[in-house]
Amino acid sequence: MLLYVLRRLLIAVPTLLFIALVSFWLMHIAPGGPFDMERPMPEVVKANIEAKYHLNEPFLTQFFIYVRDFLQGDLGPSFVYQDFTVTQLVAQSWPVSATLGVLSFCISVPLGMLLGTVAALNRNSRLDYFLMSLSMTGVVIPAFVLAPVLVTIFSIQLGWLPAGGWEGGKPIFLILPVLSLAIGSIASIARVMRGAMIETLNQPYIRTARAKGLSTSYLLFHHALRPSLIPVVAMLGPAFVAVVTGSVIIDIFFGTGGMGQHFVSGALNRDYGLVMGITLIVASLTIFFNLVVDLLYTIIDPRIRI
Amino acid sequence: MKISKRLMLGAMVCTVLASNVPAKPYPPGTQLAPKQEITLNNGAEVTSIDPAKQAAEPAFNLGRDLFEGLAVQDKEGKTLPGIAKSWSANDDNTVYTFKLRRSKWSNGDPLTAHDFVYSWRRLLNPETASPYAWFAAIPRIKNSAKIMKGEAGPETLGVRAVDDVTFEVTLEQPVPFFLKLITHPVLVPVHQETIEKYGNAWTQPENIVTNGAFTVSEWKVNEKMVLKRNPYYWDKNNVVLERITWLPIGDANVALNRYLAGEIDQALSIPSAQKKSLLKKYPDEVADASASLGSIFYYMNTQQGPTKDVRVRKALSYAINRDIMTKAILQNGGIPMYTLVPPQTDGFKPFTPEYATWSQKQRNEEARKLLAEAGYNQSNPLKLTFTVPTFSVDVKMATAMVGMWKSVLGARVEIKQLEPKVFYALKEPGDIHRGGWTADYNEASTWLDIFVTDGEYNDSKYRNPDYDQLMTSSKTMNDPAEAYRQAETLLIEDMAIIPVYRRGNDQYLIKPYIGGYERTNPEAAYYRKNVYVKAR
Repeated sequence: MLLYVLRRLLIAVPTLLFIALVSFWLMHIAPGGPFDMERPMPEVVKANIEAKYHLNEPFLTQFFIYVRDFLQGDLGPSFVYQDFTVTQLVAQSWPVSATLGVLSFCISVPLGMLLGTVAALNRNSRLDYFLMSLSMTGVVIPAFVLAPVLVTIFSIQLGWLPAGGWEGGKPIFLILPVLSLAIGSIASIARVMRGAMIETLNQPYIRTARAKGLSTSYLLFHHALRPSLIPVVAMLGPAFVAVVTGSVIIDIFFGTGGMGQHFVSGALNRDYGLVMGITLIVASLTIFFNLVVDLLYTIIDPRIRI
Repeated sequence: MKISKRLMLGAMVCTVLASNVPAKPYPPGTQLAPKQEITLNNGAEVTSIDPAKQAAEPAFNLGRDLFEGLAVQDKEGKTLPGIAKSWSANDDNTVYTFKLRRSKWSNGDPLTAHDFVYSWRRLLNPETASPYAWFAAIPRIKNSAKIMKGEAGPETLGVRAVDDVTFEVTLEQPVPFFLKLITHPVLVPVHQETIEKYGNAWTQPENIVTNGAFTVSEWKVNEKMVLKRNPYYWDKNNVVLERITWLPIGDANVALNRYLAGEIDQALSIPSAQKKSLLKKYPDEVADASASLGSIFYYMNTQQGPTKDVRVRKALSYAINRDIMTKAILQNGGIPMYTLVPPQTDGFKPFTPEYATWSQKQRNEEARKLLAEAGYNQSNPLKLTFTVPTFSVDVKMATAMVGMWKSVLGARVEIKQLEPKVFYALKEPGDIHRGGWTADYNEASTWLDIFVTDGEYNDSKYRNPDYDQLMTSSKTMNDPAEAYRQAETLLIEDMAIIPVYRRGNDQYLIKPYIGGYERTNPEAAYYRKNVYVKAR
């Protein structure tokens, strides 16, 4: 087990290096650079700036400089937010995204699993149809529609909650962004959970257990729940990474200053350093949580060996 | 402004006296709110608050509150003394001497002429890599162009501290509009010790030292920047606001929501779909913004392709119905333009081309005639490419223009939409592409200099030796208005561009308890030291 974890972590190093190289290359072949602006700078000024950021060096030299600085814990300068280093920008924005992500996860996972289970137990009943239509609505309404609706109701009409801002993460500022993030994922978790649960409930051993006269709740918690978790856990690993690294829609709509906005605006602005920094964070987290999910499998289902 | 002319006439050193005596920004009898705090939207996150790294308005807008240069502007755009109390020029207007007031940095250090020397040299130093270094080269400060290119050391720049309160600037030749440039936010002083101590991090809230009415107390990228009153500002007794929170919201709908929820005190750009109903719903919050010096025009390739033919260029320009563009499509108060330079530009005598006086029907007929003369007809239609960035307003405008060209001229124009960075980097942008300009200073040369042969921004590749000659000679004239008028006449007779509209008076929403924020400055240069919160 320990050996397995070590091996996976070791493989992660060349994987990350490869991801870094490919994204660095993709950023550089995209036409237009960080200092191409609405009003172009005089050539001589542009040359001065590019020299300052090593952009006049050959591609591989630039990559080498990047990796060297990265290994020393320096994510380099941001070309667009020039008063900050990428490390500072990440340090400012990641806690915001992580807070929102973890909170929405804590709401959406239990609630989604509960709704899915209830729907599965009452399969093809009115309750099931009601819950699943509700969840379908949740899945198809994107956050960029949901967020303005929530703001119009709770901030502009009722005046109960702020329409945006972060203010160091005061609870009242968290409610609307967390809700906007959570509603969609509650719905999709509920759907996956329902499917998995129905499949488990159809298994012969469940029928046997029922025949023995076990109560529904005993059946559920002792026999049905664990095997139903596998597809849900498989889905939650990447979903967790996505949600804690920020959502550009939430960041722009609520002005939270989270990391999702940096990722998108970084790409549009050709802020190579910022995009690289966030890409590597997302990649590392994805690798790590995939490992966590694999380890969780062995706990949920002892038949799975690694 | 005619200061330079009078100076020449006087042929002697004369002094411009401080015309404004510092005064409270509010009318006598105004009831002020106990809490002087406001929240505003800056429209975007800024690249930097280091004056030498700024290149665009959202940053300049903060810069005006954080740093004060030799002079500032009043609400109408007139130059007022800032850190300089007064100034004078020598006989031939090549050496300007600024008498500075005794003032302090936000950490209490005295601010001297040496600070200006350091800051202006730093702006031009290639190591600073300032995107706006060229601004100091416009007025031809001695050696500025050479320093920018690395051909001379920054210490050779024509600036000098005669003593602690006397700053002297030497120009390579008289530049009539020099005094208009000194209010620009990149020509402010910066605190040498802080920069040398903290390097790139000198602008962080815990390090920054400013000399303007405000200083930074908090900055979280993409969330907010909080400014607080600078206790050492020379005119601090007349600054009323204690705290300004700037939000960097780029989306007009989001900004509007925050305004409606009472979280921002001003909503400058209102989405056109909701504008009418909102202005009607909140009549006591509606305020007027007067036209700033900015316009949108379209470049046409004058050297290659079908647009090389002046008849084609004229036909394309005539066929655009500018009233439809401004009233139906933009709905932002824009005013139709038939020339380049906004007519309200200081000292400018605008020229009215003949086609501006025609009806659109006449213009369309003339356009069809010209195109037929150029050899285009139904069997041989005019085919062009038209490049625009993917901003929704640009795409909307381009679609309308292509429609007009099709219905009036039968032209087949293909729109190429490009992601902004790709658009900016384009070297060969096709037959027509979106242009536009915002004045760097309130004088016509900021517009007309664009179209000199091989000019940096001359994307029409316009070449006309007469035009070049007029622009060169205008540089040393006492009153270049006539030269400017002739140059613009040439440019429009050759139809090197398609002028479409300039910014006009617009309406926006502001909470009625905010005072002193009249938006009348032609360069949209605002100073929050003039703003106050009335008691509700």
